[in-house]
Order: sequence, then structure tokens, then C-alpha cells
Amino acid sequence: MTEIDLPHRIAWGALLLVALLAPIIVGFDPYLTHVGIIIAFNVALATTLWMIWSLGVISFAHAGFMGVGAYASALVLHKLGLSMWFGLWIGAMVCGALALFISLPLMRTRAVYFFMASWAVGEVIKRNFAYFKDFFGGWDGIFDIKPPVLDLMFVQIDFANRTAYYYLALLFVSLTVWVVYRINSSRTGMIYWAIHENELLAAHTGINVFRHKVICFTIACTLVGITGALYAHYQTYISPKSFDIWKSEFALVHLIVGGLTTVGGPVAGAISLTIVDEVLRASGYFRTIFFGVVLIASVLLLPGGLETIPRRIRAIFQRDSHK
Amino acid sequence: MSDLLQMGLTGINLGLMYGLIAIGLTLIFGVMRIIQYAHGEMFMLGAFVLYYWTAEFGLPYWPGVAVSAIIIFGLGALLQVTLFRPLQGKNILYSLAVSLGLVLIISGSGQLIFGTITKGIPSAVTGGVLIGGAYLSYERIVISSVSIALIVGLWAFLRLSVTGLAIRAVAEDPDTAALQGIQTKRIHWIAFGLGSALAAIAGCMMGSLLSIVPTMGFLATIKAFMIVIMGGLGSVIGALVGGLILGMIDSVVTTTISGDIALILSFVVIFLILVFRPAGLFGQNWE
Amino acid sequence: MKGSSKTLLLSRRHLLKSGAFALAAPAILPRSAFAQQAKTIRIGGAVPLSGPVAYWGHSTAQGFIDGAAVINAAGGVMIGGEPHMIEVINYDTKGEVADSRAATMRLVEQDKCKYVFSQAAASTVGMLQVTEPAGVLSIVACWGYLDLFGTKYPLHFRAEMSDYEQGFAYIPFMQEKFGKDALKTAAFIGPNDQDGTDCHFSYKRLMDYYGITQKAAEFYNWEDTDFYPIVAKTIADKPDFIVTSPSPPGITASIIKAARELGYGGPISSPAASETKTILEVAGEHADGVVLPVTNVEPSTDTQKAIEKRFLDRFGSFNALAGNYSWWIYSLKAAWEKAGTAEDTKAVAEALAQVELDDTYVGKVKWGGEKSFGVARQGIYDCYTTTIDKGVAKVEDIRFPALPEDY
Repeated sequence: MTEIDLPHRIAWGALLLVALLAPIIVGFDPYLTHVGIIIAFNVALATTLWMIWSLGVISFAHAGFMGVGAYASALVLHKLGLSMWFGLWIGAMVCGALALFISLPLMRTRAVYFFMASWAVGEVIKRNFAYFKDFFGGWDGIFDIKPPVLDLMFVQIDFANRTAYYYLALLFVSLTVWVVYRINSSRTGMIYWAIHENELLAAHTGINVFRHKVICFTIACTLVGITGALYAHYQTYISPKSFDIWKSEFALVHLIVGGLTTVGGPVAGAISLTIVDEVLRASGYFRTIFFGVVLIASVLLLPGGLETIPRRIRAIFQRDSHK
Repeated sequence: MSDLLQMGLTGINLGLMYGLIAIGLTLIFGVMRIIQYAHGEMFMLGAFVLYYWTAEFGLPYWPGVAVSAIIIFGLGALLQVTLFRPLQGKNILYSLAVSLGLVLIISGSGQLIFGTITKGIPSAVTGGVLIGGAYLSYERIVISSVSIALIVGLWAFLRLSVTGLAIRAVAEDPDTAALQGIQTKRIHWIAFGLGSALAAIAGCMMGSLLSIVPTMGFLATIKAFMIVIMGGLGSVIGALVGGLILGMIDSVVTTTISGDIALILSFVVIFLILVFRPAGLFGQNWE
Repeated sequence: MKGSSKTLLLSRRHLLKSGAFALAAPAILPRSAFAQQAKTIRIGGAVPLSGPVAYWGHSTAQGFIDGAAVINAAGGVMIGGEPHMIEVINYDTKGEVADSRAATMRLVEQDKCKYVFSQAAASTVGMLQVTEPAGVLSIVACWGYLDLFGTKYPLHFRAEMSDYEQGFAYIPFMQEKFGKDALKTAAFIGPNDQDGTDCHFSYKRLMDYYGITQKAAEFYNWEDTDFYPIVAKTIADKPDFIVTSPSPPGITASIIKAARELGYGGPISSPAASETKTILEVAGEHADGVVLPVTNVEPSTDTQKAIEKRFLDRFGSFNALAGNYSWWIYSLKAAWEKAGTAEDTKAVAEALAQVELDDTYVGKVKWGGEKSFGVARQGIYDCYTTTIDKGVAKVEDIRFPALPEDY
């Protein structure tokens, strides 16, 4: 199970190839490149949320932790004058430390109570950004978060260039997806799914449930903290409102529409729904209404989400061959 | 002294209103174990039914509340049968997703149909009374009484009536209940309709006290969830107590310190309650 | 009030029509209507068309859709003797910063708009990061974030009078109405986000200018449902009047109701509410003594009546806010014709700053603020102040703001 079988390998390879070639395909259109970057962020957000889901819970504090990473990196730039290359890792560490600290009490709660407790955590994080004005900038947020410059002696890459940032985001989101995938297909991943299926049973087979939960949550939050830092330096402006509950909810929607059992689910969901949202931009109220329709339709008509489509197609062909 | 009294009165009042929003949700959750995120949308639609009844057609207030409750009962039952029944017994995330979709659809269509201009429902009663220097409007007295009546009524209904007993049995264990000859499907739509109707009545009350817009449902959902989680999912008494705690925090902390702190504090209180009592104050412990 | 009740009637009758139009207008109409026949000028709107603040976004977009249709029907904008048609494209921002940045990118980079408009602070913050570097002219309604306004942003215009400019009209009016001695102290109630903080700053400047003492400043959460606690705290200090800026109509009405019920009798002014019907419905008999600046509830001039009629026909509804925004596009037209170009946005910006219009929905309009902001980029116009008395709202005062010397 550690080895990827061939069809999946081809699918992932093709996706990566398309992602790599995407700016060329769209003729370096700056706006479509922007959409690509947003897709990358959403994929990272949904995938890391899925990692928490492998424990059987959904964290509504996810956007909040993304905000922690973003704020940490932005403050490192503004208060210490260090570029994103430092902010990224400092952000990830702060995020991981906070996640570890909070998950100790948080993981005592279960199932639906966990949703709500994590929601309270996310909300308190957001409101602290707003409340401590002098340090975090209040509702005003933080402006002018510069993208980094990479100095490789012979060549300089300025990430204010959107195509360059696209590849940077792609690199990190690929790494994120890869890390989540590797953990999931390892022994540890199996333990997570055992906890997902039946916590009590898992505990009785000698698994330290609490410790695994805390570690998994911390890793996922660290990864989303990195995404947050990248987000901050791309948007160049962040405020507490950028990380409210709706962001976590939309990540959850991506997850559900995409599928819950494999890492392909959140990736497919985030890509397709970000594009749908962009297409609907000109349609006013119908943007929200249609989004709701897509969500309900996919749950009721496509149980299991987008990830089940290959299986369904295969099922059709197999039925045909029986005739 | 009168300041303290005013603070206390406002807090109790607010707590009872919050409790009214939350009891419907706790009923739906307790029976079906689904997260009904569109509960606030039922609240909003209930208020708009009353608005069209009184302000547009000029019909009397209290029958309007009843009509609103009946219409939303029907809508809730319909939604349960068409959307939520296929998800019964499946992962809780699916019901969360469907109700989230409903939030987007109902509030978006509401803006399209009702318009985005804020509206107000003329109050049923006006005037008020001074009690020891603190002012209490008759409107708030009426709303608090309705809230108490409905909470007690629901409690009694669940304890004393046959249907109530069936609802409790289904909440306890659907399979065993079915073995005893209870039609669980019927109980499900009744409970969902009833919960939605309670939200609609809350919408009518709050709508005439405050103002109504198609996007107001989300705020009601937030409050309802905060209370229900604090009090324990499925517990009517929990909803009342949770509402009162939240109402008191809102009133006392906002008046003495500030609104920011009140909101942060209420989330911290919820978090702590969940950490030390993982099933809420009065909730059933369940996987 | 006649206008408002008619609005309501029509809005019901035109329900489906307006619904269909809301979908069709931004998506289909502009592109197909004037494709390729004449030269076109594209104006892009990055405005909240869905979500909780959609009301503001639609009100703003309607002014441009209506204005473009009127100007095109009259032969378009004449630049260098050649008619140019106006095309309006609207994208939704949900009222969020990041989404607004994306919408503006799409307008500027894909649709090649050289002129964009926006509504409210969040959308403006997102928009400005795109428009200024790209040399795109922006017109917005935004009251706060004053560090994003001025010489550093020469292509950025703020068309709507903020609570600050309004103050130079409504405070003199209130002093005349209630007497100077009756208005010595004031209190402020606003939301606890950046809008509220910025408006509190403007309010303080105003009160200092008029020598009024501040008694209290209270900030509520957008999540708040009941305003008893916050109002109780505010009126405990017994201010002579209360300013509720920038609270939307529903919240303003709740504040008014709570204040009156808790025994506060002084005037309450609300520079952002502008929806008298809402306030009357919610606050009922408590609404007396409310002062609503820049709220023209009774269109009186021919221009105003024509605008009201056109909006009712076209969109099925009309409100004072949409009226306040309806002049923006006409000032742009004047600037294009004056500058003789629609390509060079810098020249257009210089011309726009000089534009003065005499007959719009808000009466006389000009741009000002050189001394305060370094550039004349702030719209200033006649302030129609509506008051509510005995349950009836009517325009009680029309005056051009008496701005200080150093404004």
C-alpha cells in the first residue's frame, strides 16, 4: 500500500504536468494565472483539512490556523524585516506550536462537539487579531506584505511576478499534497483511519489515540500555516476577515464535493469548485444560489463525490462487456 | 442600582430570546443527529411570512404568527422528507453539507425575492413599564412570556404526550424504537417540522423587535449553535440555561466592559465547557 | 413618502422582471448590445452583488447601468468628434477584500477596463492594490482608510460624501433646528471594525471643529442582535445627541428604538442609514427626532423625478442611496469630453477633478479636498437632510456643506 498503482500514478503525473504547463496553455494570461494561484491555495487548504478528517473530525478552526501562519509571516516581515523565506518557516512553527497547545484540550471533545469547539477556537483566533490592535493591526489588517525575491547569485527571481508566484505556490501545494499522501498511505495513516472508524476499538488494540490525534492535528495545522504565509505574501494584504468561518466552510464544501476517502477528493473538489465560483462571478445573487445547488446536488446525486467518477465510468464499461 | 437591574433584566430577556431560537435546533439535533445549519434560514423565512401577512396584507399579528409557524412546519417537513431522509444514518458531514447548501440557496433567493432593503414588522404591543428605575417594554415582556411558554410547552410535550414519548424514544435509540412499533420516519419529519416552526416563531418575535433582512439567518444560526452546544445537544433545559448564560454575558460584559470582550468571552466559555464537559452542560454523551 | 410606497408596489409587480434583469444585465446586456459598431469605453464594477452587503453593490451598479443606457441612447460620449458607447461590466465581490482584488484583476486584465467603480471599504481596499499600479481610474464610495486616499493615489476618486463632509451640512442644520446650546455634547455608536473606527475618527474631527464635547463612543459587534446593552451604556453619560455612523438602516433603527425605550429623548443622526421606510417600520412611534443626512426621500426637481421613474421602470425599485450614486457616470462623461480622451487616464483624472455638475439627483456636485488630501478627489454635493417627525419623513433641509477653509 505504500506503492502507488499505475493508473493513479498516471493520473497524478498528468495533473502535475497540466499544472506545470498551465501558464503556457493560457498564454501567460495574468488573470487566469491568478485563478491558478487561488486554486493552489484552496487545494492546500482542503487537503490539509482532509488530513484532520482522516481522524474522523472536521476542524472549523482551519482558516484560523491559516491566519496564524499568515499573520506570523507578515509580522516577521514588518517587525523584524525578514523576508518570506524566514516568515514561512517561522509561521509554520508558530502555527504548529499553537496547534499543539490548543489540541491538548481540544482533542478531549468528540464528534459534533469537536466541530463546535474548533469553531470557537477559530473565532477566538480571528477576534484576537482584531482585538490586539497595536500588535496585529486590528480590523484594519496588515498592508504591504511584500512577496520575496530569490537571489541565486547568477539570477534573481522576483516573486512579485505572477507567473513566478504561481510556480512557487505550485511547488508548495505539491509538497503539501505529497506529505499528506505519504502520511496517509503509511502505517500512521492506517492508525488514523482506525481511529476514524472506531476510536474505542483503536484504543483497545493498543493505539495511543490521544497522542495520534494531537500529532495529526499539529501536522495538518503546520502545513496550513505554510499555506497561510504564502497567501499573505501573495495577497499583500490580510485582515481578520480573510480568515473567518466561511473560509473553513468552503474548504469543507470542496472536501465533500470532491470526496472523503482519498486525497484525490479534496484536490478534485478544490480545483473544480474554484473554477465554478470564478465562472459565476458575473451572475450576482445566482453566484451563491448556484453554489448551494451544486453542493446539494453533488451530495444527493453523486454520493461519495468526484473521486468516485473513475469507478463509475469503469462500472459502466464493465457492465457493457458483460452483455 | 437601577443600572444593575437594567443589566439583569436585559440579560434575562436576551437569554430567553436566545433560548427560543435554540430549542428548535436542539429538538432537531436530538432526534435526528443531523446538523441543521439552515435553522437560521427557517427563522428568517418565518419572519418574512409574518412581514407579508401584517405589513403587506394588513392582517392581524397573532394569527400571522400561527400561519407563519404552520407554513414553516410544512416547509421543514418537506425538506426533511426530500433532502435529509436519504442521508439518515450516513455521515453527519453530508447533512451539514446539504444544510449549508440550503443556507446559500435560501438566503440568496431571499435577497432576490424579498429584496435587500431592511424591513420591519410592526410590533404587536407598544409601551412599557418602569420597574425600580429599569425600563421594560411590554413587547419584551410578551416575547419573554412566549419564550417561556414554548420552552415549557415543548418540555411538557416531550414528557407527557404520546408523540412526545415517541420522539424521545427515537432520540434515544431509533432501532429499538422501531422495534416497539414507532414509525421513525414519521417521527423524523414531525420533529423537523416542529423544530422549524419553533424557529419561525422566534423569527416572528425577533423580527418585530428588531429588523429583518434575507441574510439575517446566519446570525441566528450562530447564536443557536453556541447555545445548543453549551447546553448540550438534544436538551431543552440545556437550551434555556445556555441561552441565559449567553444573554447574561452579552448584557453584563457589554455594558460594563465592551462588546468585543463579550463575544470573545462567550466563545471562551463555550470552549471551556466543552473541554470539561465534552457533551455540554445537560447533553447526552454519544459517539 | 409617496415615492417610497410606489416603489414598494412596483417592486412586487416587477419582481420576476427585475430578477431576470439582475441576472441578464451584467452578463449579457453590455457585451451584446454594443458589440463592435462604435468605439466603446468599458467601465467595470467590482461591487458586492451577493452576500450581506449586496444592497449597496446593486444600488451602485444600477446608477452605472442606467446612466450608460441614457448616455448611449443620446448618442454616446463625444470624444474628438467621434461618438463612444459606454459598456458596463459588473463582477461580484461578496464584499470581501481578496474577492474584490480578484474581481478587479479580471476587469482590468481580461476585460481591459480603464475605469472601475466599487462600493464600501472592503471592496475598495482590494481594488486599489490593482488599479493604481495598472493606471486604472477608480471611483468608489468609501469612508475610511484615509491613508489610501490622497496624493499617493492620484487616480482614486471617492464620490460619496463621507460622514465627515456630511457633517458640515447636518451639524449646522441641527444647530439651527435645535439651538446651539442644546447640542453641546455628543456620543458615537458604530461597528467595532475598521469602518467604525474610521468613522469615529471623522466624527471626532467634526465635533472638535464645532466645539462639541464627546461623552461616549461605543462599538458593537456585527453579530449583535440586541442593542439594549450598548445603548444603555451610551446614554448613561447623557449626551445631547447621538451619531450612529456608519450603521446600516436595520441596526440604526434598532439603536433608535432601544434609545427611546430606555428613555433617551435627544436627536439621533445617522449618516449612513438613508432608508426611512425601514426606520419607520422598525422604530414606529420612537422614530421621531431622527436626522438622516444625504437622504432625499422626495425627488422634487425634474432630473430627480426622471431618475426615479427610469429606475423604477428598469430595475423595479428605487431608493435614495441609488439616487445618491447616479451622478458618478455623468461626471465621468463630462471628464472624457473635457479631456478629449478616454485612453489617457491621467488626463481624464485631471479633467474629472475640475468637473462640476449643476443638476443631478443630489443637486450641485463638484470635487474637492485639495488641502486635506493634497488632491481634489472627494465628491461634494448638496446635502438633502431628511428628518422624521410624528411618523412622517420629509426633506427638511438642502444645503451645500459649509466646508472649513483648510479643507
